[in-house]
Amino acid sequence: MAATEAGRSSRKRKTAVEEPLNTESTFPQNVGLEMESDAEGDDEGAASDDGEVDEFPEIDTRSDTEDEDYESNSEDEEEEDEEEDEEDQEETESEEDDDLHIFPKAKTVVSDITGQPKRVYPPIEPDYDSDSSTEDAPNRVGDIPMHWYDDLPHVGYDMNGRKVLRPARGDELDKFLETIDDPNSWTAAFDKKAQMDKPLSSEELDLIRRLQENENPDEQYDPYEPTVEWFTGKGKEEVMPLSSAPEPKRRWVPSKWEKQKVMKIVRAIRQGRIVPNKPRTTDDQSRFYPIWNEEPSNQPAPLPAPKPRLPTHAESYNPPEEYLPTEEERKAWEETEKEDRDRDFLPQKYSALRLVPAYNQFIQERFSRQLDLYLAPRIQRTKLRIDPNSLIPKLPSPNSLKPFPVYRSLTVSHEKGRARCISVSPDGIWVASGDESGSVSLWETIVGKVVKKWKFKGKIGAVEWCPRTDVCFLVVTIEEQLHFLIPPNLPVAILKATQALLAPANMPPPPAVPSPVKWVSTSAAASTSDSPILTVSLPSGSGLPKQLAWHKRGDYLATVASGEGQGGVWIHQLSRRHSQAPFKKIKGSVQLVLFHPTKPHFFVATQRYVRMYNLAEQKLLKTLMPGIKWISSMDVHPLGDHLIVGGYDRKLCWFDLELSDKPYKILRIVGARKMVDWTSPTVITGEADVFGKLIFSLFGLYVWEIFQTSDFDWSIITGKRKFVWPLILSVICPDRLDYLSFGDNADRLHCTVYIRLLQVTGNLAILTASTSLMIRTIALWERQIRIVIPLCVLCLAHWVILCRGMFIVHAVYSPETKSCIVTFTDHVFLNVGFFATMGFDFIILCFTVTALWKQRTHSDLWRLLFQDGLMYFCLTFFCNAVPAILNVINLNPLMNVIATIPAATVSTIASCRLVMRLQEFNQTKADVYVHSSQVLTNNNGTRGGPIRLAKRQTMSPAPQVMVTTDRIVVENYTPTSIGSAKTARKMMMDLEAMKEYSDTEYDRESYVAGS
Amino acid sequence: MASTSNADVSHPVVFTTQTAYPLPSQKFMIPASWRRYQLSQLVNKALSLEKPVPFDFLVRGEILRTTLGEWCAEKGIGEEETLEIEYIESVMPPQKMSSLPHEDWVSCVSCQEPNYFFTASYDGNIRIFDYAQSLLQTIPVHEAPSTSLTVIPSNANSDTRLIASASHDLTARLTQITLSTGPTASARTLASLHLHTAPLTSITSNSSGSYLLTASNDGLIGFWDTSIPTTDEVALEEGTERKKRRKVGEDQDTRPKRKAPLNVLKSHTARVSKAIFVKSDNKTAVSAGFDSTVRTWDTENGVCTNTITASSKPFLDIAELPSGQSVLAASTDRTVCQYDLRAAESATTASVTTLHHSATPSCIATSPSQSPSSSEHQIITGAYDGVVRLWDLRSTKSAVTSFKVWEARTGGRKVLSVDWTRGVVGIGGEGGVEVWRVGEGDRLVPS
Repeated sequence: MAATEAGRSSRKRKTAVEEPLNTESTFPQNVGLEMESDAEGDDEGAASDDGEVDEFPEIDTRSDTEDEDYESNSEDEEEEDEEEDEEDQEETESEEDDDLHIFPKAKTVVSDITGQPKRVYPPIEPDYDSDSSTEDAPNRVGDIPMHWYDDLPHVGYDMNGRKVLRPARGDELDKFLETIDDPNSWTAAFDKKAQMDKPLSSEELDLIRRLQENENPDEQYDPYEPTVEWFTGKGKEEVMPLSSAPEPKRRWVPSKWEKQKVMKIVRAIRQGRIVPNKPRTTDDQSRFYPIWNEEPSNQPAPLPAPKPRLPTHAESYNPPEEYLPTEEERKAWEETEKEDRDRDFLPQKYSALRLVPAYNQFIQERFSRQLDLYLAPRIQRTKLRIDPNSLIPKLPSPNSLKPFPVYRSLTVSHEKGRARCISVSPDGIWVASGDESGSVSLWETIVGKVVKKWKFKGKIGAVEWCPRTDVCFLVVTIEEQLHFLIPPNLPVAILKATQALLAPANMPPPPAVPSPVKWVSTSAAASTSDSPILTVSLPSGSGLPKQLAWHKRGDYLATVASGEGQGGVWIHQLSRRHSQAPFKKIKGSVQLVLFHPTKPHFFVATQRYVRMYNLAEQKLLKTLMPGIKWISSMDVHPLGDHLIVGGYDRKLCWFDLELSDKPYKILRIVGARKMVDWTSPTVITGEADVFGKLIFSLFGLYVWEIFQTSDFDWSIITGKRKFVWPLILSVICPDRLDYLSFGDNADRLHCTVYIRLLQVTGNLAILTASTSLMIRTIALWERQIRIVIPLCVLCLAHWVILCRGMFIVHAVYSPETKSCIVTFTDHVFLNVGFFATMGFDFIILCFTVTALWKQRTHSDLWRLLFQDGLMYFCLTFFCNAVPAILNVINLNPLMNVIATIPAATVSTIASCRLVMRLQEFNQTKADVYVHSSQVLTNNNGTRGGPIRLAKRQTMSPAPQVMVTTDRIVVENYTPTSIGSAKTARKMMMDLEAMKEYSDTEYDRESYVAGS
Repeated sequence: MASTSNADVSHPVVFTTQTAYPLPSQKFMIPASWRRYQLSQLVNKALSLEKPVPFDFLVRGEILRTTLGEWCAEKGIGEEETLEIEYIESVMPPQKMSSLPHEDWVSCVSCQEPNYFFTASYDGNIRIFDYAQSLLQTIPVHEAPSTSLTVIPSNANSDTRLIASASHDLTARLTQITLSTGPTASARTLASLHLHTAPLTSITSNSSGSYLLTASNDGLIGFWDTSIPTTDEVALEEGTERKKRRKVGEDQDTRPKRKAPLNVLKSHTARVSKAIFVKSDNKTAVSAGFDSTVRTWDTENGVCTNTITASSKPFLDIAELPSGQSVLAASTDRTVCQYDLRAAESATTASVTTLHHSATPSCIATSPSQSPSSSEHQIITGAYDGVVRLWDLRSTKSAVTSFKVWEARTGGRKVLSVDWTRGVVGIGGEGGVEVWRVGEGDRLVPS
């Protein structure tokens, strides 16, 4: 670049010389050739030697020869200097006229030889800074050995190339003569270049002399210059001279303070406050350790960066044809989401590599890669690769759980009473079962054939076989008695042993303390299998023993009776024919008892807890807490270390008796929930019951409503209010609902009439309610014809539909439930009716909202109005929606109509209230509403107290002031009420006193006080 | 073969049979829409039988009840596959012949004696009916429910028969009766068999009528001969002496003699439900019990020679197949299993065939030995749901036919006993006795 620049600048210089000046001045302005102009300026600056140099010293430093290097080395400087250069440019342009003379002016002369005009430059006049111009040595051969010219007539060439001829030299005689002639000739010296003696100048001679005399060769040097007083002399004395004071003692005496500090440390070290060496800890000891001794870390090694997939043929710029996508593939690829594509490129074919365009996804790819690196650092992610099937608990195969009941093998029925107890004989052949009618059946386990029946008086409480195998009998409990029965067909040996046990020939000695329990046995000879061989009578009032528990060895028998005293627990011993009550008093009602099979332990289950007693030591061992609400069953493992307790709340607790008193395991029965069978008669009967009660409660609600609003009716009847025809609806509405309750006591033969009546009144209620709401809407729209006409048309249609719907429900009297049962409803037509009502209500709701929305701008009470008025509309709408939905579901005939009565009641109440408001609206031209919902919420803590609502209308004669108040008087009869006094006090609450302020301000407090 | 529609699809079929009507072994192309009836007609026409014989068709162990195409579609068998169909003479639908009402449950019915039905009832009586449904005799043998009876076969052509009955009163009794409709009918209890200490469950005799086997709930099997002892072989227990004397009366001659067993077979660890003699060998017995074992006994030596142990299958009944090689045992897990008696003793023996019931099968009757060979695979089982099923052991998936007894009453009433001889099936149980005709129509006994 430097070379080209140099070339350009030289060319430029030529053109600058050749071209006229005006072009030169415009040149640097039209193209950005600052470089050239810069170089030109430099040249100019270098060439010119005028006053401008001082202003641009940097330019001055650049010589012509250095210019190239300078530019090539420091382009930055160039750029920095650009602006200055431009300034240079302008200034140099302005100086051009003056600067022109620095170039030698060429004169065009006609050559003598050729006759052609030629440019002749004037000879260069040597100047101060022109090189070698200070010497005028004619010979310019340079520093060469001059003997090269020995054989030549000249000794060199002058500046113009002419030969410098050898000066004539005389011989030795001439030299001698010269020395004689010229006395100064000895001061001459031989000039090699000129090959002649040149006389030395006086300065040179002086220099020679100084060198000879070992003097400073410089003539100007003065070795005896006067002293320049820099630091001494008058006024130059040193202000702070160095002190010559002797060294203080502290410089060489040891420091006392340092000693004290050291002594402090030393003392601390001695006392052990400072431990000189850092105590050697285990860390220090383990400073050297085998580094491979540790267990290899469980952490996986950092994940290496994933290797990019090697490109395949498809990625080639010139893939084989089979890799190219077809048109459908291409389309499919383009249509799929970017994330869903199986590969992120489409193979494309180019015949040559030079035809491959730039990769258009490059930026995106790099960006996404950066995003990946930035947002998703390469940490090892433990992906949850869980087989969903492994989460399902492994259920054991049903075969391994056998035996468990899978099917009902046989049924043995007790015809007369409910079978309450069952017991299987120890050998498993026989089963005894007892029922509530007092019969005990003995039947074969495998066949189910009843082979023997015993009949007792009263319910059978429990039946248990004696667990012994050498005797065979069973015990049956009835009220206050235990009967011991011997089954028929016993082998003789067993029969005899049984008889000897139950009716021994020699009675054991009676106990010292007479027991209230009587043991009466028939003699063995007289005993048959038909009657009990032994009867144990419990004391009277002990009730029915509901549980029998045998000890494993069959000598002890425990009974739990439901009666009073001792918890009803008795333990009977057969061999001694003795009964005793083990507990004087026991907490809670005993549900079950159980003997421990091996130890003398006794389990007693009350409703919540299981207590474990040691009968031998007569103390409580532990109390097990199963956490069951009501214990229903209990059993102990034959080995005696596990106990299971079942409860009525579907729980089974498993206790390990050697562990804690908390269950080792709790098992729950998860039963399948069943859907209601809507068509089953029991469900329908239940619904009918609910229906009847619902009607009654709604009737009560309605009577309350009538009573509450009776003053309105009264005012109409007595003529206080001006009767307007829409009011008839609000009078009709309350009255016809009264039929509902009368109908419930209707003659059973007139069931259909009753239901008809119900339906007629219900539909009438809905109709009048909807119509009342419509009137309200019309009033809000200020009786505009375009609103009134469509609403009236709709209303008429609604009336027609509902009047038809009054006669579609059929019912019959059911003697079982003693009520009317709806047998048939035309649910399609019911649907039509309900949806018509719903739709009509919705339409007027919409109209009302629109009207209210319009009035919003000029009514402060809009909010209240909106809430209050709209609430009734919405209530009506949703109440009618419920029966409609039930009707669509069509569960059963009764469910289709069950919600109509609540809907009718609620909508009637709502519409009546609205109409009454409307009346007030018409009278007062101001909307005043009472939030009936506040009635119940305002009484703080006195919800239970009777609420009496007194409503009074105060009409002021002044037309500007309207005050309506609702006051609620709550009589609080609860003397224990916290905040209030002991005595009952009356709370008067001003529910709402809405005032329309006009000229006169109304004092509310004074009004309340005055009332 | 242009199979344009489903109806035209044909299946290659090869017919095999074990009946007396073999077809030449050749491949038939049978339309898929064919049912049993068409196939039966085909066989009849191919053999050009004079009198049409209805056949049933077994395809892979199942009796064909649908069309062939439907069967193949259900099993996923392609139409190219060659099916091997075995045909058997079909069983006529069972017909109810008569009903013999009882007041109590009937625990056992026997129709081994031609023209007579013997029933043992839970009221302890043995009743004899003839084919005219008339009650001939009511013999109060036991005071307790009698659970089983057997008519001891005798070679004599006289009318007297010896009946052995087992009861809950821990004895079995041998009663001699005279079979006649007239007033000469008499019955006399000759001997009581005293061994067991628990109710007896069954009593059976061998085919020659010389020996008896009793099974009881106490796990013992008694082996007796049928001879009537002249004196009491077992001493009278003291406790019952007075009662017996009062009941029986002072006549020492008419009092049944107390008989002791020849041998006691002790090996069962639980109740024994039934013990039978193997037909071919009068000295070998087979028993099944609640300990899930089927035991083979050498009765003379009183040792158990073979034990087949099943897993948790308390057996209720056992019957020997006519082939004599295997027995059928009904268990409370609602299966009837076939066990090969020749199987080596092992821990648990798998059954050869298992027939699944929907209720507990209580009794089994094999086809009578007089029947033709075609019905030797047929058995009848009665179950607690009151349904009697006829099975073909070659088709184990479902019963060939089944019928419900005592239809008049609602609910299943338990069948406790079935007996099958000469096309007549006697069914005893909760509702009394019913007699049905099962088998070939032309072999029916006139009633």
